[in-house]
Amino acid sequence: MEHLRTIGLLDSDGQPFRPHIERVLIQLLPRLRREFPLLQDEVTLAEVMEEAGRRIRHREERGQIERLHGYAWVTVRSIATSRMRQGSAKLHQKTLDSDAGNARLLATPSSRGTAAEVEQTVLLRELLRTLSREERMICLWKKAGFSSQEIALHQRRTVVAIDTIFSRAKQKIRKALGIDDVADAPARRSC
Amino acid sequence: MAENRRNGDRDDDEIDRLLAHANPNPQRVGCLPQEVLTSLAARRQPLNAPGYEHLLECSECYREFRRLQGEEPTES
Repeated sequence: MEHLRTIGLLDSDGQPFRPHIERVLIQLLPRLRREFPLLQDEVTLAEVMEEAGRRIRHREERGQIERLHGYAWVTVRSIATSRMRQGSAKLHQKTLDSDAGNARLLATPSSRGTAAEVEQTVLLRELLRTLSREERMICLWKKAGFSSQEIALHQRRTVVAIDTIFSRAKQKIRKALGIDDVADAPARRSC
Repeated sequence: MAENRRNGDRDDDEIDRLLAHANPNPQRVGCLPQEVLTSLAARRQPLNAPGYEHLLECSECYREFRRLQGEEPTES
């Protein structure tokens, strides 16, 4: 929860939500964690909350919501339930049976390397594909040494949005690679 | 800070590991000329330079790019 408070929740345009929306979403986080214990990682929680924030903002364009807290919870719960279904479905879709897995391994171009190395390559490639194009580009530009400010200017986003996207991309990679993430406390702003 | 700006943050080794090994291109199809890699490594190219797209698709070029930056990507 502290993590989400630190990095903030962003709308689809990379801007923070209006304070009353962010406040109600942050208040609902403990309940979300309690009622959906399988949604544990910060990236998924942030995505659920941000989707809820977007729906609330969209709904508010038609008029003020009378009972915002209740409306927000129903929205969050609906998105979380949908995520849970997607999660297991995605896992099923992305899991190859043994024949297909062998075919994929055999088709992987490699003039050298052990079976384990080839398998590792396949895993890394699949992991890379789970990142969006923007996430991949931001990771690369960061490795090239560009600052968040330079990238933000190019992408027409805020520095906070770039830092958030970068931080989440790293979290996705670390999680997939089984690397502990305790040291990665994303800063609100960087160079 | 200056070091990070030139070489990327050292705590991003997982990104190195990913990009340096996810896309083997042993036939070196469409690989970038050395001078382009040198230019990318020195940040003399803008962010929208097409060479960056290739680095996302070719682990050999990415490793060379990192070597030219003075960094060696971690082994997988």
